[in-house]
Parts: sequence; C-alpha cells; structure tokens
Amino acid sequence: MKFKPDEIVSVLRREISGLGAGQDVREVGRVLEVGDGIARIYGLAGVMAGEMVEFTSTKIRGLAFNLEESSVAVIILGDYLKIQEGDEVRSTGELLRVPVGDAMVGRVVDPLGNPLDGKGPILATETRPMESNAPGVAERQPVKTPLQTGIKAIDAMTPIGRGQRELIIGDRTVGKTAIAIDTIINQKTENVICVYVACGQMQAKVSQVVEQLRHYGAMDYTIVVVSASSDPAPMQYYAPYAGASMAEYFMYQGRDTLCVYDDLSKQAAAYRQLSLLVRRPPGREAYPGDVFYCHSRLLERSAKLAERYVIVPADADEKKVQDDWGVNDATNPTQRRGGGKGKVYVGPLDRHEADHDVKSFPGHKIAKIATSGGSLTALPIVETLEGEVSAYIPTNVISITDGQIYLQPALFFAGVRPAVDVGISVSRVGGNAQIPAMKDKRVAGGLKLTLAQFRELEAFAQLGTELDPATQRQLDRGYRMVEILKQPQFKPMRVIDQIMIIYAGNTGGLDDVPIKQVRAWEEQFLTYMRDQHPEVAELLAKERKITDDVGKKLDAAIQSFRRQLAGTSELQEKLKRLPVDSDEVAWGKHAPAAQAEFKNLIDAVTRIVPVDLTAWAMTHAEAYGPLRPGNTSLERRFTEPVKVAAFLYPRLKENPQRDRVDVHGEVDRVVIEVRSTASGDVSRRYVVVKDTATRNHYLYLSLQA
Amino acid sequence: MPEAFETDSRAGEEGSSERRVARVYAEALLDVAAGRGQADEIGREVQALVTDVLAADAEAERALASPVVRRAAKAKLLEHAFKDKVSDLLFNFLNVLNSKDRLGLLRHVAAAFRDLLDERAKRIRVTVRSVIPLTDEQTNHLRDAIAQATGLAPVIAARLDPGLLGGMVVQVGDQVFDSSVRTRIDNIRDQLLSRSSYEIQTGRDRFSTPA
Repeated sequence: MKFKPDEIVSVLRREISGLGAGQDVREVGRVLEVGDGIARIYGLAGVMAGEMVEFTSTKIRGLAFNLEESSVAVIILGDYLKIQEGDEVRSTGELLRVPVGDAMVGRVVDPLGNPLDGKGPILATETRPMESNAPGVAERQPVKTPLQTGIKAIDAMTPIGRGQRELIIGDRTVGKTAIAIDTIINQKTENVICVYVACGQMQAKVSQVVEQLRHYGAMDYTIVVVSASSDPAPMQYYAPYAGASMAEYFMYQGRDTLCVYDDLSKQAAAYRQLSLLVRRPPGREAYPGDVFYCHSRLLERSAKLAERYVIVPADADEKKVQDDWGVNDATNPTQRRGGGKGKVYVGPLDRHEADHDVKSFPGHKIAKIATSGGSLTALPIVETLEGEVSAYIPTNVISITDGQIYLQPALFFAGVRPAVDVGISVSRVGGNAQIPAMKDKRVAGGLKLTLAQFRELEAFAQLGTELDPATQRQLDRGYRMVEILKQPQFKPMRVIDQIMIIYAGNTGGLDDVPIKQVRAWEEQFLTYMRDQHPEVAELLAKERKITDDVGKKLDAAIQSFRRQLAGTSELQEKLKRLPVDSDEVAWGKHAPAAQAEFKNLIDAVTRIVPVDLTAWAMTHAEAYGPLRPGNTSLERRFTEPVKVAAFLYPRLKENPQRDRVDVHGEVDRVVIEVRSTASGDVSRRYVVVKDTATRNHYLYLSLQA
Repeated sequence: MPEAFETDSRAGEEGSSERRVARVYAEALLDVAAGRGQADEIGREVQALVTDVLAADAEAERALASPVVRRAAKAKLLEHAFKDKVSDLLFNFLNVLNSKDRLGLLRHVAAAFRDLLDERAKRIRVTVRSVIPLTDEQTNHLRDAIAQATGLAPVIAARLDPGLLGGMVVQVGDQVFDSSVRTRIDNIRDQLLSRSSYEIQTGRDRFSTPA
C-alpha cells in the first residue's frame, strides 16, 4: 500500500476552506447535580422536551427529560461518572435519532445504533428519530396477511397477522423468548426483516440468542438491539423505541417487518427508575402515571400500511412506481391530469374505484406504489410473577395489544412445549389473516373448543370414574391433539405441514397410535407426505383451502401411510426376533457369533457420516459398480440404522452352513461382503451409505456372483 | 458601579432547594428595602457582607452556619458584631435568618438579592471572556450591541482567558456567542475527524494504490 499525500492534502485543504468563520451560537446551562444516570441542569431555558443536549467537555449526549420551573432534568446517554458539577451543557436542537437502513441488517447494536459485534463501523446513510408518531387511521388497512410463526399451537389457534401486536406473556423460563426466536427463524423464506430488541436481559442470554440466530441463518435478515441489564436505565428505556425505528424504516419502504421486544416489563422497570429519579410522582406499583402511554405509543407504531395505487401506462416498471406517477387528475379521476396532482388510490376501497377509473384510460394499468403496503408486526414479551396476569404492567400491555399468548408453567413442566395455555390465549385480529385451509373445521377451526372440552374432561377423568365410550374417545383424541401440538425448539414448520398433521389428528388418523409414539408418527407421516405424495402439499398450497379434492387426497394418503406403517412395524418385529430366536435353532452353536456380528453391523451403520448421495455414487462407481438409485437390483431406503441391520441380516444368513460375512465400516460407508466358506470367493457385496439431505440410509446390492 | 456585584461564584442560580429558599428570603428583604427606598443601599451592604466579611473570616462564616452553635449564642455574636455597624434593616434580617436557622444561606441570599435587583432595574449580566483586555471603546460597542438586541441594560463582567487563543466569548443569560479561536479549532477538528473517517470507511482504497 502506498499513500498519495497530494490527494490527502488537497482534500484537507478543501475541507478547511469550506469551514465558515461563523460564530458558534449555543444555549448553555450548568450541571447542578449528577447521579444515577440523571443530571439536573440550571439554565437551558429554551430547551425543548426530548431535545438532545451535549456535555461540552466530555461530548457525552443527554436528553432533556423533565422541564421544571427553574431546572432541567437530563437523562445521560453514556458514562455519567465522567460528568461533574458545574460542567457546561449545550443544547443541540436535535431529537434523538438512530441510524437505519440496509447496513444495519445482520448487526448487533446498542440502542443508539453503535455496533457491538466487532464487525467494524456501520455505514448507515440514513437516520430516523427514535420517537415518531404512529401512522394514522387513513394510512392503515386491516390485518389480513398471515405472519407464520412456524409453531403449530400458535399458527393454528392464536394466529398472528402482519401488522398485528401479539403479546407473549408468562413466568420466567417458560419459553417466551423461544417462541420469538422460532418465529424469527421461520421468516427465512418469508422476506420479513426482523428486529430483536433485548431489553434488560443478561448479556450471556443475549449472546446465546445471537448465536442461535446465526446458527440457523437468521442473522441475514435480523437486527439485534441490545441493552443489557448492566446498561444504564436510559438505554434500557430507549431500546424498544430504537428497535421500532429501525423496523419502521423498512415498513415505510413497503417491506414487511417483525419486531420482538424482549421484554417490556424490564423496560417499564427502567422507566420507573428514571421517573423516580427525576421525582415524577409514583403511581400504582411506583410506576409513573404515563407508563401506559410509554407502552401504547411504542406498540401503536406497529401497523399494516394501506396499499396505494396509481394508474400508469401499461409499460411502466412496477418496482419503481411512485406517488406522482398517476396519469389521471386527483379531483376528476376520469380526466387526464393537467398540471395538478395525480390521483392516488389508498386502501382496498379506493382500489374498486381505480378498477372503474382505469377503464377510461385504455393502454393503462393499476400499479401499487412500491413503498406502500409495508407492515410492522410487534411481539412484545412481558414477564409475570407467579402467573399474576392482573399485575399492573401485564394488564396494561394486554389491553394495548391485539391478543396474547399465555405460557403456563404447569404445562411447561408437564412437558407440553410450547406451553401455550389455549384457554386464555387469544388473537383478536389474526383470524382474518389465517389461510382458509387452517381455519377449516377439519383443521384448526374447532381445535380450541375441542381442547377446552378435553381439559375439562381430563380433570373429570382423573377422579377415576367409569367413562362411557364416547367420552373415552373424546379424551383419547384430546391426548393425541395435545401431543401433536408439542413442538421442539428451532423446528418451525411449514404451514402446509401443520395443516396436514392437524387434519390427520382431527380426522382420527392417530386414534390408534400409542400416545408416546404420536410424535414419531408425525415425523414419519410428514416425511412420507413429502417423499411419496408431494402433490397433496402442492395442491394444498395452491388451493389454500381444504376443497373436496384436497380432503379426499389427504384421507387417502393418511390411509396408505397407516397401512404402510402397520406393514413395516410388523416386518420389523419379525426381523428383530430372527437372529435371536429362530436362528438359534437353525444355527445352533453359531448363534452367539451371529449375534455379535449383528451388533457389529448395527454399530458400523450407526457411525456412517452422511454424504451427498449422487456425488458419492459417481465417484465410487468404479469400485462398487453403478450405484445410482434405480440402477441396482436391490436398493432400499431406511430411516434408522437398526432397520438396515434387521433387513439385511436374514439375507446374509441364508444357509446354516454359514457363509463368511465381513463387515467393513468405513467413514462414509459400510461394505458387507459375503464369502462362501468353500471357495473363499466373494459371492455378494452390499454397500450402505447415508444421505445428507434426507438423513436416510440407502442399501445397495453392488455385486452378486 | 454595578460590576461590583459580579463574583466568581455561580451562587444565586436557582435549582437546588437551598437556592430556592434563599430566593424567598431575598425577595422579602428586597420588598422591605424597596418600601423604605433603600434597595440599592441594602444591596451594597449585603454584597459587602459576603465579599468583605465572610470571605475575610472563614471561621466566622462556619460558626454562623454551624447548627452546633446554639441560636442564642449566635444572636449574641450578631449583636456584638453588627449592631449599629450596619443598617437596622440588615441587622434585623440577620436576626430573622438566625431565628430560622438559615444563616448558612447568606451567600445564596446575597446572590439572589443581586439577581432580583437586576431584574427590577432591567439589567442583564453579560460575561465576556477574551485573551487580551477589551478597550473601553470595544466594551461600549459591545454594550450598545447587546442593549439593542435584548432591550435590557447589560452589566458587563470582563474576564481574561488565555485558553481561548483568540477572539472572544460573550454569554448573555443562557445564550453563548462564541467566536473564539479555540472553539473554531475544535469544530474543525471534529468535522475533519468525522468527515475523513466517513470517507475512509466508504472508500477504503481511495487514498492508496495497491502495492
């Protein structure tokens, strides 16, 4: 690297000559007292509420929080220990702003937008005020597009729409954050920008969350705003507003966004601290009077913005359409506009008008303005103490939001995870956003009621009374539905898959499956549907509702899966018994050695490292012959190693005189060679490999003499 | 000589509770003094009490402010020290302060009294800092300019501050008009730093060519 000093000097000269000799006029005050993140300032008579001020000597910024008769209380956004009594404070005439834009995505920042992830400075070109007004009535439209969380219990019973505010509430450690994180992970294919605001959280927990997001590839579209519990209270108080601003920017660009506030009870505590320090009168639970407003103005910023349309020539580029592109006159929409404003159609009602008006303009079309129709979905989290939902902050936020997901510790510890309490979890607007297939009576339509009835019956059944068959059936169905709604963390599910499994449960497909095997059944069923009947999912995705055709196809698929499962489990049972029982009779003294070999085979198969099947088969074609699926006489697929062994073993031991069986366990394959005892030649050779994509084991017969 | 009121202390500014209390006493004193037509006289006396007596004898100030010394003892002390040496009004005022255990507020009361006098007389305090002393002509010019801008009679307190390097800083109330070389250099430094770091970050290979 070689410097070009000339250029540097010329740039410096230009910069310096550009600086005016103008006077620096500022309004100042002096620090009277400072402590606990608050400074009391005398002077600054003209400062405005919420205006930024600067401590001149240290360049630390603060924010005018309380304007009193003869002093100003300033909250300090930085290290207050460096500020001394008598320091000069100057007003800046600016509001608190945060950097926004694409440069922020994928970064971990503090509430002021400073990077915390060690990835260098953020080159954001734009900023937004931290506090901004929520969009008004006219700019919004009703929530109608689903925001899929990928969690069965939520998408089915408390669905969330884009632009909705859904509270996640529950005691500590019942999986509130897990739901939010799964939702973010599930937005990978949905083109939704996510913001995760950690407010008053432990640093360790935050870094864990960031690591999880990174691991599941969610940081590519996520901004993490961190104010840890050790950060000053002002930072914790402002973190949610900063996150909302960053998400809002994308909303006003026409993008869909999701913002998680984790959690608002700690933010309220930080706000209480600030308010008490500036001596605002305490109210209930010592929270200040405006703690409700503090949360309502934050959550009100979530919105589904109305789509705006203009009539443009048919060849216009739809991705760049802007407000002033309309060709017709705003006041007289059937006339071409002269010098005046073009007509902009706002929302679904105007859209009908546009359909009518466009007829007057042949060769024109209606186009959506590219930056319209964005949304900001909020998932605030509130922590309760001992399930106390009627405490101050929980009731406040419940009344502000469009519904809540209540997580029940009792359910959580009983193994029902996510521990959603179906009874008191609601979604007030999300129902409109659910896709019709999910809303269907045979899927999630009656699910809430069924589960509520089940909970009542369950309590009743615990008394040990004799139950009539109908009640027993209802109970059995309930147990299985509860089992179906369980879902491990980091495994968000496509909504189509959710519909298929809930449909199977609701139509009685699982009634004879033992409760403990329900989840295995579900997994196998979905694999089966993906591999053997992909057309059902495709049809469902296209129709978006359970038509007669879809219903029939689903029923048929479930039946055929049940038959196949019964078949394999029968076969499995038989094979499992073979080496131990019947072989013992057949092979006599060879039986112990045979059992050892069987175990050896299972071990070897278990240890195989998965490979990309097609590529593997190509490179090994020379050694083992053509292994591509369909090219060999024997080719089988197994989901578990033990099944490979169980299937293979009886075939290896066809004659009691015992062929010699060599099992070669390699890193990515197991080669089994069967040699005849008489000649010592290889009579048959099997190869077992594991596929990366499906995680299944494939068995090939590579050689038969 | 209005400049005589100016002290280095920032006492008299409101905000803290002590200062608020002091202002109440100062208002009461001023009302009585104005009623008797002695406002300016009392003002000078109070100021002299602070600058000459208390500043000269820190021991006395501590004794008067101390809650350990009993009121009766302080009353005796006041009588010996001030009776017939200051105006009756001020003497009575000191006794009132003593009876309320507020003698420790004397400095604040003096400052508040001065501010109230300023307010009534439509005066405004102006602090001017410069590197070299201002000439009379310059001071008059400045006084005229401020009087015209604010409509109040400026009371100019000039101070020397070599740290400014050049130019001057004028503070009128909360407004600071800063045309010092120091501030300008600081501004240039800040702007250069932020601009150049931004330039460097946006075009990292702009100033160099690959070797």
